[in-house]
Amino acid sequence: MSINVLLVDDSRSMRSVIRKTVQISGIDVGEFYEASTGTEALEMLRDNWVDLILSDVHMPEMNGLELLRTLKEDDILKSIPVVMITTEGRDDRVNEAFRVGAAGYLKKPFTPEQIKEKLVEILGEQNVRAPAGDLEGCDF
Amino acid sequence: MSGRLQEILKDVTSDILETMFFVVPEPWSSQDTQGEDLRFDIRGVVSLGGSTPLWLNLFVPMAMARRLAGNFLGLEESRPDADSLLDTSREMLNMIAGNLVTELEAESGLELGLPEVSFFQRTVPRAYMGEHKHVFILVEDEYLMLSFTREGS
Repeated sequence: MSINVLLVDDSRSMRSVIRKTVQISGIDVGEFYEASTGTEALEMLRDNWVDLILSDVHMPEMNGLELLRTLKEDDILKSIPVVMITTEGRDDRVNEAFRVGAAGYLKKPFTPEQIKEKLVEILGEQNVRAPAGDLEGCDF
Repeated sequence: MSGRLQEILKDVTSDILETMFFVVPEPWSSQDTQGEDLRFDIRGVVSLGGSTPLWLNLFVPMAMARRLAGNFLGLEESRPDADSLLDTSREMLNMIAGNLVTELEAESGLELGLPEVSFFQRTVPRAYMGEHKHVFILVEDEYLMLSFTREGS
């Protein structure tokens, strides 16, 4: 079964890298949607259903934690798992994200294996097919 | 810049360059501090907050910026455009600063801001490499430079 994924990051390059990483990780993705701020992500979610959100924390306008809070207050959108992907791994930041309702937290820099591991943990094995090759040492 | 801060900055930058940009920083010697001035084409800056506001600066030469953007984006033949060069450099600075703040957690009070980057095109004297105010990372015959500035300095 394929899933729809929303990538939220103010860096176009980072969105492209995460997208490729998810693809080579073997996750069966139907549609990839992209947004560069939390505000844009919410607009996108008005018209499109997604099964997973991968979001940066540091973004202009509405940051990732504000987006997460808004999603968790919404009766329909609160069930979508949100994985925060960010540069900061400070305990207080990680704990805050989980307190607000994040399903996972990944720190940049990341490897394809780390992304896959986290997504399998959240989505379950049934959504992950075998990757095309060995992920070890694989580039994006 | 204290020796410990220099080491942390070198370590987090090297880890990011290897993991996300697929280049391996090399050691450089004191002989490298002599010769022509070093030219940089992209400059980035990010606020780290703190009681006395502190900024982290990144300086990248054009050829290195192209190589890093190409590797990051997985471009095999095509050259990255100007937007990609700036966006990739900004993301690199974001990762360096975020990981630095994480490493300095205990003594922190630091608050990561949003990085800004622009084309810069200036040279700095090679003698800077012998000082402790800057960190230089050698990648395939070119140097990337990092430095801190404090409000009022």
